[in-house]
Amino acid sequence: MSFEIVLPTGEIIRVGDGGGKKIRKSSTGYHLKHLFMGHQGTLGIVTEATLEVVPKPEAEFAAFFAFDDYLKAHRTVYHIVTSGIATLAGTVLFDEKKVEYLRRDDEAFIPMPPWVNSIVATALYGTKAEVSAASKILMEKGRAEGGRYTGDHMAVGDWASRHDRYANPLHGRVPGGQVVPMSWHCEDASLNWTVLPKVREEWTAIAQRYIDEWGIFDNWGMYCYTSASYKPWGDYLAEIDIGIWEEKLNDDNWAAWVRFKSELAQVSLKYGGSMSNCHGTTRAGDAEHVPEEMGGGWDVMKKVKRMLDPNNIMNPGKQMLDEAYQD
Amino acid sequence: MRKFIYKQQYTRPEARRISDGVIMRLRDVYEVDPALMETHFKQQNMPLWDTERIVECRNDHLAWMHEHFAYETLVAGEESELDKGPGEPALQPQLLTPPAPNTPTHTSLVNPDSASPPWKSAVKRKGWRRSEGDDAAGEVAPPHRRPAASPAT
Repeated sequence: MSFEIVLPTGEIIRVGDGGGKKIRKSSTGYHLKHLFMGHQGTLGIVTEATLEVVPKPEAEFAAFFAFDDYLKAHRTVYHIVTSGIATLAGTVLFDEKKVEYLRRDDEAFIPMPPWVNSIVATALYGTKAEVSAASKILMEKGRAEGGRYTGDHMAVGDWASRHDRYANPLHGRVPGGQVVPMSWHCEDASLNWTVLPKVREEWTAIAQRYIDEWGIFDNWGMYCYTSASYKPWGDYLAEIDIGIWEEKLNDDNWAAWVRFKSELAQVSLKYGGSMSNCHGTTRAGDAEHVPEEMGGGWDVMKKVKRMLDPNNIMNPGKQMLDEAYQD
Repeated sequence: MRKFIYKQQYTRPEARRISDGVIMRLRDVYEVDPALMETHFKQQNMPLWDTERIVECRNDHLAWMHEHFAYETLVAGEESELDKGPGEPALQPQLLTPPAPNTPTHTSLVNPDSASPPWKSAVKRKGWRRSEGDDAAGEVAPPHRRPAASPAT
């Protein structure tokens, strides 16, 4: 809700909504809190944070629906997020490559019939009375485009296991199917619902080209999570997960990886999105596109950086911000 | 306490093929096909007790996650429909359909004539409960038929 921050000049300030430590909404002054969120350590150091602790909800309800066609699943997400269900916590769309990847190792997906190529996962949280009533609407919406309910067992087990899934798959497959140790890279753009199919098509094609050419990458598929449950025009966290065979990394294929990332990022920009929903854009492959994404705001960013950190002592080199000191 | 017998612990049961890249030796425990783990990444020789330990830990973890999310986990009370094959759209995709001209402005939330719904005899298992609420026709109006304002009382 608010935090104390030490500025590069040594001043200590508190930023929140207005001047309050525990205030959720204020119309006083500039909204400085957002300036100090996601700055990647370039504007100061947080020394204290005030967090909001949310009570545990009374009831949870999860449901997964399977599709033979990504576009049916994509439209289903729209039906669900525009349903007006107030207890809707989120909706997640899995693409064909994600299902293919999960079929290798994931207990819920291994037994799925071959026609399943996309999944919509949803969850409701709230009072038992609200969640019970809303679950009927959710089941109807999930089936509106031909979605098949994957059963209670998966609804309960898979929703919980989604939170630790990435602890497990520290391996991937190379062309030919052999298992190799791999690390996980997630490219996490913010994109509007309307462009998700097109971005998916282009990201998948880029990934396949690099897999074929370099033999050290693996496409672990895409998830798209709602960032704003009630706004279909709102943005989605769209991620493509790429496995990288790190043992094989050298200067040449590292450079290929950076180009790979850069191409993914450029697709996000081409479709009016943002290159990162939650991971930040500070690494090679996307950092160099920050000025392009920010447009006129890039000059403002540089002025703010130079004013608050006149000696460039806070994370120099991050986000191309050294440009602020070149004049 | 179970006796540790080396031969039993390291003798893996016969594998059953589940899919192109997956086999099963123990009930509900999937394994990557060992044929895919020969060139770059060797499969470990693991005693049975360790496999059982991992499965139990995972079940404990899932149960803990649910407790962490909410006090109660509700389910639809339905089995998987995947054996029916792919489904077709039940309605034409009509995104942002405006309300029909004669749409009722309010719907009763209590229907005294409705019969007891079939799910009331639904079984409870593993502490999960079927989602409750009367799903009789008219009980929950679709979004485009929600009242524009609360009815006068």
